[in-house]
Amino acid sequence: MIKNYLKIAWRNLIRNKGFSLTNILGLTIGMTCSIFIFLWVKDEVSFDRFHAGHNNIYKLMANRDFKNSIFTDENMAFPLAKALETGNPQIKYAVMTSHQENHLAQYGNVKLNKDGYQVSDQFFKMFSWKFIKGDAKTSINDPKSMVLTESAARAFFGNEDPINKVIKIDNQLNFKVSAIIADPPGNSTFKFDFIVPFEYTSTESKNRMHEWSNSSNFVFIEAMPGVKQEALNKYVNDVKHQNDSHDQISTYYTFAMNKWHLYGEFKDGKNIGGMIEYVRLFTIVAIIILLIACVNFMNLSTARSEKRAKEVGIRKTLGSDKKQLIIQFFFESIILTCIAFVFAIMAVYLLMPLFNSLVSKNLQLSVVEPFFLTGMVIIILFTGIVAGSYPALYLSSFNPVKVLKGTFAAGKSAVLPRRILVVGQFVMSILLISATIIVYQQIQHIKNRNIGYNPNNLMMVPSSQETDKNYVAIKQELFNSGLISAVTRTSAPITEVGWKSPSPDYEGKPAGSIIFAGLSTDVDFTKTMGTKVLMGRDFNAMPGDSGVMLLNKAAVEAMNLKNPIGMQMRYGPRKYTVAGVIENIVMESPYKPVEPLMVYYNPYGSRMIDIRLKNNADVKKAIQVLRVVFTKYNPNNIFDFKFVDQEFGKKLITEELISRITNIFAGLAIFICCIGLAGLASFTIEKRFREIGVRKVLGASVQQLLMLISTEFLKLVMIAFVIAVPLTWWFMNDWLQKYTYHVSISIWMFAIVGIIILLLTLVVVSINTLKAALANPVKSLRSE
Amino acid sequence: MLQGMFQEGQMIKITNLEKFYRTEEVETIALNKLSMEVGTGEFVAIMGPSGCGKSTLLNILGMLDDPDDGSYVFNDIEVAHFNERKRADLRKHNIGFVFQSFNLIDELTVFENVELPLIYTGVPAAERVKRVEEVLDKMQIMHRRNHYPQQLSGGQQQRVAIARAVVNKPKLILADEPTGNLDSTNGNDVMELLTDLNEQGTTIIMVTHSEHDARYSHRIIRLLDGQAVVENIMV
Ligand SMILES: Nc1ncnc2c1ncn2[C@@H]1O[C@H](COP(=O)(O)OP(=O)(O)OP(=O)(O)O)[C@@H](O)[C@H]1O
Ligand SMILES: [Mg+2]
Repeated sequence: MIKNYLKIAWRNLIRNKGFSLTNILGLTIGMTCSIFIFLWVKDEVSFDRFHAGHNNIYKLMANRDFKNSIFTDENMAFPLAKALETGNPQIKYAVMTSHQENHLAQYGNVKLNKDGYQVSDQFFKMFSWKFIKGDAKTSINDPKSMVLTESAARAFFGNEDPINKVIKIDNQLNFKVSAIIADPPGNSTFKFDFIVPFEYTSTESKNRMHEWSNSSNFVFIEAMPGVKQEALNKYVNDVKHQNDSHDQISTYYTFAMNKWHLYGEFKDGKNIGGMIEYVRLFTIVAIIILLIACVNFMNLSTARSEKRAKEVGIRKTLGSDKKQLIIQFFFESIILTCIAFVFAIMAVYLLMPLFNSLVSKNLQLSVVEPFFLTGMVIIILFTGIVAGSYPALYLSSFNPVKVLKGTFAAGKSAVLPRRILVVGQFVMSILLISATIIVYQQIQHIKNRNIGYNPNNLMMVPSSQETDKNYVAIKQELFNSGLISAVTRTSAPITEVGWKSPSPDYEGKPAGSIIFAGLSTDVDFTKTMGTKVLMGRDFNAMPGDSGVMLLNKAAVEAMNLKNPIGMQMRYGPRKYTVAGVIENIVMESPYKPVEPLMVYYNPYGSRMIDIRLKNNADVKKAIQVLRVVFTKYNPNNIFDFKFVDQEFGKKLITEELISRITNIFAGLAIFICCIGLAGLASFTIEKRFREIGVRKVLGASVQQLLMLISTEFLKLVMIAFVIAVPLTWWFMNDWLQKYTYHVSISIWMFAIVGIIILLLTLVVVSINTLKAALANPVKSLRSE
Repeated sequence: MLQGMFQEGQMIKITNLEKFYRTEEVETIALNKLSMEVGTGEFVAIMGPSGCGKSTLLNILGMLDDPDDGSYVFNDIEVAHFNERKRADLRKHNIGFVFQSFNLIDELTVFENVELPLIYTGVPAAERVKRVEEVLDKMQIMHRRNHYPQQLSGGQQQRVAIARAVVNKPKLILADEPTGNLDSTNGNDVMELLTDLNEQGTTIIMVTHSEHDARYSHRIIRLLDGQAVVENIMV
């Protein structure tokens, strides 16, 4: 029996080539999108899950409650990890790591800039890295040992055995390679080339072990299985406050490893999600696209079915019951789905490199994985059953007497559901397209925000002891090239906040402190950055500059100062006079308001040399000049540079990625809609072929015929539009509320989307109608 | 070559008209150097065995199709090489069609079917209602104005089709086996209608297989293999 079903289903597909191809194309695109999205989602939700203890590992966080905002801080005091580890059986391990830092590493003649962490001794016990050479337990017992990743080892040593080789860091410290681990996988939050242990034995470190109020390292704990997070939170707060009773503004809590990647955003001290939103969004998009493709199948099948009514009638008179017909039609849809699935898999393989570069991941499709196999069965059954359900039920219910007497007319009962489905398809497509445009507009809006400085034509070169020593000569040579208009030095890249701390003290300061970002610079800071001085002056290289401070506008507002120029500020042991007020510079998230900033004059604490190119300067030539100058004066480091506009652009990476993905998916969704529409139009025309002929004989023009057929579809699109607009507004307005600076949704955008969709419908339908409209009516009348 | 009886003027003159149908394997000569004339106000019947080219001729006369060779002068205008738009324009103002299978549009009511030609020639709505009602009245089908074609008998459907053909007051009516799907009573009714129209001045060319129907005409042109073989004048 099954063989018979298969045979008939197969023949039907072969016989109706246009129908089959349209459906296979739609379903293939739909499934290809879905597979890509599911791979992406799978990767996103798998972050950090490869660590054996991922269910019990936590990162420590602190909410530091300042007057102007709650600052969510990942930095912890140096002795905290050790203190947590001792004396509580609930804690399995506690680990401290530095921030990820970039260092110059050298072996023989090979000099490379590599990223690494300093870690405390339990690091390799808590986290499950794959050891290729050496032993996890002992690898960092020696304070001068280093663990390298496989690719870093290859970069330094090629095929030589790396174990016990010595690597020099920053031209001063020697580390001996003790172990090699596999590179951290793409779904790891930690990304590094090397790991070195913290060093606890020097007197400096011993002193730091009593330094409870400075926080600059990350702390992780792994709890024993079954320990409640509340208990851990309480314990951490207790330990910290026992050791540092001054810390009144901080509340400590644990942040579960399983949430690091997907729930990485905090606002006002509360977790507000993060990537999880996009994971949800794209899961919905994948389902929508698949549904649109299924709807195509339903519409085309039922439209075609009116031609097959006679077949159904005959089958029924010959004894086929309803159930058998239902099974037969399901077989057709499942076979079609399977064929489309095979094409989709091929498309996924072919397009994988493209998709990977689009989402900057390294995803792979492995056909033998259980995840894939279950996914495959789910996708095929879902698509096949959803797509086949309506046609199967509809077709099998034809009344054979009516059909065979020829009085069968697929009346309103068949046309209405089809119209509803088409409207549904277009609602989803219009929603996707509008959402895409709004996301794009929002990104443009953020890009166009006044960020308080000019990131274009601005370069950064990392400082070193040598650049500090030779700064005057470097500056002179740069100016001599004629390509550069200003140079300064900063304690952090302008695209980052180097440190944050409570505001300085000043006369009339109210209780409770405000959190400030800090930056120290050399002269020509505002000139190099292209930042406006709103009041007072910039540093001017006078000896008195070291006692002078600049504030940004946000600081003046937060401190509620009427006349800040000349005010005395006390910060730690030092006193400063406010010399100037500058514009707000966006150093952190471009989506958030700028926080108060204080800028000191301190040329020697610099991490970056900032170089402003002249507007008309040839960038390639400038890089050349910089290379020559820095190689000359900073020979022990690798010449490295960054363009500030590119660094700033990285802040928009997630949104740009989302924008690109939604662009593509919205485009494909509308494309699938259009092929469905084309199919439906061609069926309608086939059915009305004779009518078109009659009308032509009676004098209808081609335009009149096009309008006749098109209005039927245009009406549906119009209804879809009316439904989609409020829906889009509702969804997207909600999304935009996330951003302090956001666009408002404009009616014009909807008008343009509406016009585009209407034109698209008109074109698709007209192309199909044109053939019938131009045909010689003699033919259509003969075909009677 | 015989002339039409009513020499008020010449409406149609075709000379050496040729029409071929080419398919992949065969070439059929549907009209083979056919020449004939029809005068204004004539009622001509065209007869001949199946496949001899009657419908082909009618389609060309009705400007639905163009000849491969030869000349076709309609009201002193050479139309053989007219493009589609010009033909359509000439057609919708001058010619009405009646088909064997009625060719009514199922989705439209009787009234709407008859109204269509007026819409396509741009007649204003009020005028349309008047003219459609007038002609429905004349065809005695007024009481069915809001019915759909499926709800009518064959004879009634053909009356609607004739009403639709004449509503624009065409100078020429082309009828291809108008009684072919009707019983003799209904067939006679249709023939009476056509005769009436002809008496009021409309030129009629009718294809038929029925000698009985042909007797309503003034003249019979007999075709064989795409050529006119005999012409009989009825008196
Ligand atoms: N579209 C076409 N393609 C190929 N051959 C055609 C086509 N239309 C007509 N013919 C051929 O042209 C010839 C004349 O056909 P036509 O329809 O004019 O015949 P007819 O005299 O109207 O016949 P009947 O009395 O059966 O209606 C026939 O041999 C027919 O097979
Ligand atoms: Mg014929």
